[in-house]
Amino acid sequence: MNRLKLIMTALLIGGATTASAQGIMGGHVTGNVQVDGQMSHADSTIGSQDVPEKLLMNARADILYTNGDFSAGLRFEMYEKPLLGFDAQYEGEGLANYFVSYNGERLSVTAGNFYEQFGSGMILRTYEDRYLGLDNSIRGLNVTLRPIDGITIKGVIGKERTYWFYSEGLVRGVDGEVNLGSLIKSLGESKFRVTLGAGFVSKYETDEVIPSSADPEYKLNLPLNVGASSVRADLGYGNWSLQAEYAYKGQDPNTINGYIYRPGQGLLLNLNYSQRGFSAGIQAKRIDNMGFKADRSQSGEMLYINYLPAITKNHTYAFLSMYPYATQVNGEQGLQGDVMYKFKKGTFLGGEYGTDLHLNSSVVYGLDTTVTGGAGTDGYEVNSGLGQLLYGDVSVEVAKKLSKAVKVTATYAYQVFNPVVENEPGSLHHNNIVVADVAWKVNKKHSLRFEAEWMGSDSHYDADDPEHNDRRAGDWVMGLVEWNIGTHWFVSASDQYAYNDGIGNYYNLSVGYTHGATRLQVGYGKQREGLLCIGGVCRVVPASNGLTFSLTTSF
Amino acid sequence: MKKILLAFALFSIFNFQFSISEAQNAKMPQNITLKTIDGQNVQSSVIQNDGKPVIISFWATWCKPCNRELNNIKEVYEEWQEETGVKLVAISIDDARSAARVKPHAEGNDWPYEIYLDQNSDLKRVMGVVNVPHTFILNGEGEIVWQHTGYQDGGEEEVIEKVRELLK
Amino acid sequence: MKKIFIGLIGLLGIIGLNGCDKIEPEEYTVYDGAVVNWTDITTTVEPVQRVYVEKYTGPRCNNCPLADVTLEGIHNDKVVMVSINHPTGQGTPYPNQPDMRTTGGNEWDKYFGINAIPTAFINRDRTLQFQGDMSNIVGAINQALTEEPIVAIDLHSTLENNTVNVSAYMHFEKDYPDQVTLTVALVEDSLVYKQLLPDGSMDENYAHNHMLRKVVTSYWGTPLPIEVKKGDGLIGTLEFLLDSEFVAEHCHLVALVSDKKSRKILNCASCEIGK
Repeated sequence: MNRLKLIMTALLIGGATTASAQGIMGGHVTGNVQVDGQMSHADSTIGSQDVPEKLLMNARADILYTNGDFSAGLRFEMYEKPLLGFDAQYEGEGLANYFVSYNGERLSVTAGNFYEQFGSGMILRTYEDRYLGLDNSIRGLNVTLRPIDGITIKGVIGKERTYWFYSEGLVRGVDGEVNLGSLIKSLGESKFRVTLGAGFVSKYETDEVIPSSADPEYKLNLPLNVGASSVRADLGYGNWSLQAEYAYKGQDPNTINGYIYRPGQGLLLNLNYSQRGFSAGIQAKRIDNMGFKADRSQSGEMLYINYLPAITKNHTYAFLSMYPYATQVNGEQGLQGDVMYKFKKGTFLGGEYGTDLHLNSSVVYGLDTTVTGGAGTDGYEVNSGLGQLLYGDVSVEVAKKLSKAVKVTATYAYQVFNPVVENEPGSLHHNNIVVADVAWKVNKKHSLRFEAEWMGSDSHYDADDPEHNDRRAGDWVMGLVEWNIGTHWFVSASDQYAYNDGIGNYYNLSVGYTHGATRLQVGYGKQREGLLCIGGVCRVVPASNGLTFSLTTSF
Repeated sequence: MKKILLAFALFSIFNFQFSISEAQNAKMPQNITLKTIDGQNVQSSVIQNDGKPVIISFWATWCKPCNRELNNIKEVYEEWQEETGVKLVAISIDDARSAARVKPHAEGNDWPYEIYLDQNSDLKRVMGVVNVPHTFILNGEGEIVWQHTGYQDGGEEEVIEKVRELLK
Repeated sequence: MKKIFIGLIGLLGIIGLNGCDKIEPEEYTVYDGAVVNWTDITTTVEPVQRVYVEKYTGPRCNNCPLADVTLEGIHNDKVVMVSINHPTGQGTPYPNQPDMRTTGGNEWDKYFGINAIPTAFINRDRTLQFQGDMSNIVGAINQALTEEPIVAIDLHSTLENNTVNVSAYMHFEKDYPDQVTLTVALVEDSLVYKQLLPDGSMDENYAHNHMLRKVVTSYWGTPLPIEVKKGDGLIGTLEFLLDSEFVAEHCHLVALVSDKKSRKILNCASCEIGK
């Protein structure tokens, strides 16, 4: 059986790539293929497990046929067995997604699996993240109408993908966006920029029996139709821009909020100023009970209809992203500030090549709530103050070119992390992090990159309670050397070591080969879970101990 | 047996990939909705350069190699434009988390490029991009003639070489 | 231009008004079934052990008629049968055919995790689950009938206009340590609609019997207001409206006395409506 699957994969991938060479009936076949493999063995210090199958493999091929305004696509996925960190429900293989689509100048129609977003996504966003194993594409119908320049109207209907299945709930939505500058000539010629939008999403799901928390003889009178709407504005004047979106979700008792009837609300504000060589911005976000899923009884990361990204900066250095903040869909309020400044060439701080300064800070608190009941009540009331501190960080990054060949980036960050955001017990961590990153272009063909990182924390590993050690920070050092040979090859070696906590070395060796849009990377070592950027590409990796390989190609 | 088949699968990809990488000229998709950095919806057909080549670079504010690539190209961009008339269009794949930072980020870095937002990765998906950075070169007819994934210091040399070849 | 604006706003408005259910706070929770009134009695009830057979079936299930043949063969007044239409897959009704799926039946189906039909349980005992081939069920039913009853049940009903009054007389023959519930359900016989047969052909006029139409009490039963001791007796009475689509002459009531936690059936009874 397994053999058959492998043959099918091989033929499909091979066939797709062959077809792309010829083109069918005047159209074109394009797409991409990705194969990730992992051979991991147990290591209790890092929490990796033995893999009885020896080899775990995720493979997928996206194949798109385009002929003028018409296109059709399908995606084959195979998880035999899924890589560590991927949900076991992915196991299996088959045609995961497919669609046919017409994309005209004024009208776009897609039937089948589609990805769509209304505004910032607070009420609807279907997307996929292949490294996180997320895909909530809707299978149904998606229509976009652009009746005149400056107006976009979208409509969606369908069911959401969850692993190999589709949601019980039916998702429907409409969204409209108007760019006033395109409609009103005098406005278009002024310094003002105004785009307004509004959307509405409704989910229908059949009834089920959920007992009331107060009296199990009573069941919840569930709303079968749950609606969410949002209004938004994108305003600009000269160097200033302001984006604002407010979302409201009607009664939606579900597993995430504990089956309460309180309506949900979300507010997102972005104010930015920018000019050549300088920018400053502030972002504010507040959400209250905004978890909106296609199936009310599902927990976990799948089946979200809406998208609520974290308000914090997406850090990419290993120690800065060791404890990333995760959005608390039931309630949070936060701020982020960001400043970039370029010291010009020839000034005192700019030196011969200029200096870049980047400051960023964010802070997130929970909501201050008073609980008024459980399932089958309004749940809680929100008070005006702040709830508990969930996350905070400040980072300063200075990048300076020392000579034509050498560029140094130095980063300092201070971080406060509350394990509650990962649903883990424990007290706040306070971490200090320093990163030095040196890129040296040795000659036309060779370049080297060195990275040294340090993290000091007041949270340490506990030998008596190893189960929760992944939520304790520890004191860390890390070194990385990356050697790029031409544009084809790279070799990198790194080691992370918790010097006060005695949990061994996280070493890693990687070799990569890139040819055009094809890339093969083979690594060996112990890998912490986190966002990893090596050899020019960033991706999220799960904990493992052993050999990994990854092949991607676009055609 | 399993391993042999796996090897065959991998081989078949490489084999075909290398044999076709420059043989076909799919057109750049025309009617995908993007946003300008001022928040206006536009169709991807706006990406053109009056019959001259276009470099399309997919990037994100949080992607360090992308930023290195775009910063390094900035140093030589004026020379490139004078020599070849090429235009670089940078497509940000930042989602709602950082999309509002795209304009300040680009201006703060003093990038001279044409920039569009692909917030829900619609163009990225249609163009088969897996990871960023991912760079395409379009010829004067808007056909994709070359692509490359990843960035290593000095990689921009290869990009301009390919553009020069187009003009021969 | 203006027309497009008005059209867009109108469209948003229409969907906005219809796409969202608003529930008032006093209606957040609803009683899960008909209200049961309890009265103590001292009279005894004839102690008869009956057996409850719960069968999951569907019109697109070609093997289900075989199970019907087996079960009809042993049906008598000591065997209480309820057929439940599986909510998905082979349970999906054919186009323009009656839909026999019920909210209560779906809940039971979900609880037992039914993934293939026909499946039958004896007394909701997971160890007495039969799937596909029902040849072993006869012996198991006969075995279950030999047990000493914990509770004796006698079920009666009256029908006036469309109101059904149900009285379930219960007398406990033994102590029982856990909480006990009473479930009353309505089943209907002689429902004629399409059924796939074992040979793959379609019977356009298959008569379906014992089909669950409605769980009258809450789906998993209303708890008895007593800690059960030997010799206790009580009547549970309730009333409900008979839907006009049900044919009263073809309907039966089924009473189940079960363990609240394990949901196993201690004993059961059945009666025609109005008797």
